[in-house]
Amino acid sequence: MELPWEPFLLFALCGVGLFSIGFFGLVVCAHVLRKILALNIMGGGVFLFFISVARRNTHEFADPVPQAMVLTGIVVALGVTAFAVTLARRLYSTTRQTTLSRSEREEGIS
Amino acid sequence: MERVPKGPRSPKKVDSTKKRVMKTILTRANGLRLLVTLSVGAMATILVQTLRSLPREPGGITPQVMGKLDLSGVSHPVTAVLLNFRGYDTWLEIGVLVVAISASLCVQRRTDILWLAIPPAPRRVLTGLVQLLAPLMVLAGGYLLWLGKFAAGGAFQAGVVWGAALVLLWLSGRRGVAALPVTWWWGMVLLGFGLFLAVAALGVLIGWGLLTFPPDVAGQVILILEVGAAVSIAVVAAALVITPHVASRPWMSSASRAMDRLGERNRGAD
Repeated sequence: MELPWEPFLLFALCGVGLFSIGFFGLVVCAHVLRKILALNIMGGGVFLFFISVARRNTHEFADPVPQAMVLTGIVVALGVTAFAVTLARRLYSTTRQTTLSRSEREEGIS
Repeated sequence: MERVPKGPRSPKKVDSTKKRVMKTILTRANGLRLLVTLSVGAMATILVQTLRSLPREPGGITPQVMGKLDLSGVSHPVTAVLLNFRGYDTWLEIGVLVVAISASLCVQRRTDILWLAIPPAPRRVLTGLVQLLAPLMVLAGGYLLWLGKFAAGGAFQAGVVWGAALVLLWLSGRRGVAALPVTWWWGMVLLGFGLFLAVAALGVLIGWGLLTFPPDVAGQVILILEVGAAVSIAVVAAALVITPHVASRPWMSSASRAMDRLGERNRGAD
């Protein structure tokens, strides 16, 4: 309790930051690949947050149940990302578009 | 942003320039960005406040896990949770991977996970490096799998290393990887899920209960499940990377006649 910021709190705050950055990117970026990347950053933030909060205990390692759940979550995120990229390729090959909006020129970041 | 011209000008012109600048700043996209920034900031503030108000817990659920660790058949708590205490999580995780590769193939309008051999790379550095790395990666994956019993490691780590080895072998134009028949690939994709299903069904029939293992055989059962899960994860991960490339490359038509026939049949159905 000497440090004003305990390590788990610092990492959890990083997790919140990553989640916020990812959320911002998900809403603001129009390009689907950027949206997929933003979703992954959000997911990374959630994983970091979860595993950091699991370290609040006084044992020598983080709570194993959240650790296992995060490991499972990473595999699921991998599958979801791969499927999303396949969908994006399909979208491009069908419509020659890389965004979901009709007026893709209007958006600033693409 | 529009450039604002410098120097003296008439008041009327200043007004129009100002208007133009304001117009560029106050677009819908910028408004959206401002709105999103504010809401993200509010969300982050709430999250941080919640985080700071969390009490420091001495135990969590670690004591429950550590107390039953002797009965789990492995000595690493995370592996015990993954494959024994919450085995159905891992089972469904592999199920998600099977769904992911199936859905990916559906979107590509294909029914196969055949990997065509790409023409052997003329680059000696790549082929030499892969020749050197591939056996090491297989070994490292096996080591990681075995490590899961008592340290950080296990099916997922091993599967990812093996999957990377498969992608490397494919990239370097090794024909051996593509030569396996498609039923083998599907068999490997379904191996992990199938093993979990078999063990779960067996457990119910014998009287262990669903995915509950008696302590004396738990270690062996977990090892079998882990090998199956690692193989499935490796093949699915590699297939998710490779299959979209096979469909879109020009060498596809000349690479394999069998694949062509399959592809023709699929395209005919479009």
